[in-house]
Amino acid sequence: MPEGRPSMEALKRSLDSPRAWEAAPAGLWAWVLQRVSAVLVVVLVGVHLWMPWSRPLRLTLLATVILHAVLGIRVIILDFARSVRIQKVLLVVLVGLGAVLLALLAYILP
Amino acid sequence: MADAITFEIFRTAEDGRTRFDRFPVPREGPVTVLDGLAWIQRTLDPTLAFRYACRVGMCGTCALVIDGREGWACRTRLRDLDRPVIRIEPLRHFPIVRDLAVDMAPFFERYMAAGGAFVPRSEASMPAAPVPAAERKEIDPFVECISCGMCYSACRMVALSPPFLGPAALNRAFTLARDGRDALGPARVTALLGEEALWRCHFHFACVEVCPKHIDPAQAIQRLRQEAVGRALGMAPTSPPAALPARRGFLIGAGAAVALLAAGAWMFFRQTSASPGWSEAIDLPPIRPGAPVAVQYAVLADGERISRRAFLVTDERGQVVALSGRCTHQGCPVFWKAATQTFLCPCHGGIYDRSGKVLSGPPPRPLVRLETRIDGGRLRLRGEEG
Repeated sequence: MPEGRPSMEALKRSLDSPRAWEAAPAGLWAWVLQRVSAVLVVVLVGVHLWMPWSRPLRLTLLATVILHAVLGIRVIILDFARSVRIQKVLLVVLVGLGAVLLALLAYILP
Repeated sequence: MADAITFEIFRTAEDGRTRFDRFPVPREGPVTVLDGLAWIQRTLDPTLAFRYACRVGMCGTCALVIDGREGWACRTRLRDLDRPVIRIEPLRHFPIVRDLAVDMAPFFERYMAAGGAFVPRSEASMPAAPVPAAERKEIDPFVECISCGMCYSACRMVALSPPFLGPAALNRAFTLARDGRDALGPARVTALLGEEALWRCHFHFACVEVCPKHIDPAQAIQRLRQEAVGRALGMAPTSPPAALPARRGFLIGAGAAVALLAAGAWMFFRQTSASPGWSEAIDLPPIRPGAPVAVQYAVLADGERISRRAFLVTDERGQVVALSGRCTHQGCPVFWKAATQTFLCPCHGGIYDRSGKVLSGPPPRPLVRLETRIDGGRLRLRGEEG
C-alpha cells in the first residue's frame, strides 16, 4: 500500500449501531422521537377506530399526538428563532408543557 | 482517583483489521489527552499514529472522538476525565490513514462543493474595501471556524447520507453568501438548494454541541434556508436586521391561524339556541317490549326541516319512553346492539344501557329523554336541542 493512502473506510455513525447513541445530542432524540411518534400516531389512530372505547388506548394516542405536536412546534420556533442556542431549553420546556397538557386532558376527558 | 488512567485506543493493522489497544497512562505528568498520547508514543509504542500541530488549542488538528464525543486532544485535560478507562477513536466519516490519523481531503472537497472559495467583485479597485458594520456583525460569529472536522464527525446526517456537505462547509458558504464583497451573491444560496446541501440538515445540533470554537453551524444553515425560502417566495433575503418582517409575517400568520381555529371552534360548539317545538307527527311503530325501536322524525328549527332519529323503549314500569338517538358526547348516532342489550356509539365507544344510562365511554350524560305526545293516533316528539 502506498504511503499516506487512506487504508480503510471511515468509521460510520449509522443509527442502527448502539455506538451511534453514545453522547447523542438532545436534538437527535427530538428528531428520532418525532419520527417514531409519527408512525405511532398512524398505527394508534387505526387501532383507535377499531376499538374506540378503550381509555388507555385513547390516552396513549393523545400522549403520542401531543409529543409529536410539541416537537413540531419546536421545529417551527427554531425556524424563526434568532439563535438556535435555545434548542435544548426549548425542548425541555415544550415537552414539559405537553406533559401538563396531557395530564390536564387526561383529567378532564372521560 | 487512581494514579493511572487507561487509554483504549483505536488501532489499525496493515491487513485492514482494526482493534483497540489499552495503555496505562500515569495521571502524574501528562496533563492533556494529547500529552498522554505523546507519552504512550515515547515510552510504550512508537508506532502509534496521531495528528497534532499547535498543541495550544488553535489549529484543531488533534481533533478526536473521546468516549464517543468529539473533542480536541490538546484541550481535554486528564483531570477532567474521572473515568478509569477512556476510549479514543479517530474522527468519524473521514478515511483513516492510520490509527488516529485521518485524511482530511474529502472534508475540504465538500468545502469546495459548497462554494467555499471567495470570489472578489471585479469592480473592487480599492486596496482595502470598507465593510458595513452590520454585515460584519452578522458574519463574525461564523468566521472563527478552524476546519477541525469535529462537526462533520458528530453529524448523524453525514452518517445517514454521506454525500451531505455537512455543517462546516455550509457554515463557510454562509459567511461568503452574506459578504458584500463576494461576487456570487444569491447564486451561492441557489447552488445549495440541492437535497444533499441545505435540506439534508435535520437540526440535531450535534455540530453546535461539539464545535470547539462555539460556532453555531446549524444557525448558519438555518439563515441560508430562510434566505432560500425568502427568494423562492419573491422576498428580499433576510439578514437579521431585515429578518423582522419575516418574523412579523410569521406572527401575523400564527395570529390568523389562531383566529381561524377559534372561529372554527365557536362554529363547532355553537348550539342553535332556538328551541324547536313539537316534531311533525309520525306513525306509531309497533312496540315490542325489550327491543328498542328506531324511529325517524323531523323538526323545524330556524325554518329548516331537520331529520332526527330516536328510539322508543319500554322502561321498567312498562311505559314507552323516547330516547334521542344522538350520543351526548359528540352527537354521533347511536345504534342498538341486541347481543349486549346496549346502545353503542361508534365514534368514541360510548355505551348506554336500555334506559339511556351511561355504562362506559366518554358520554357525559345519559341519552336525552324526549317528550312524547299522541296526536290523533300519531306520535310527536320534542325536547332535543340543537
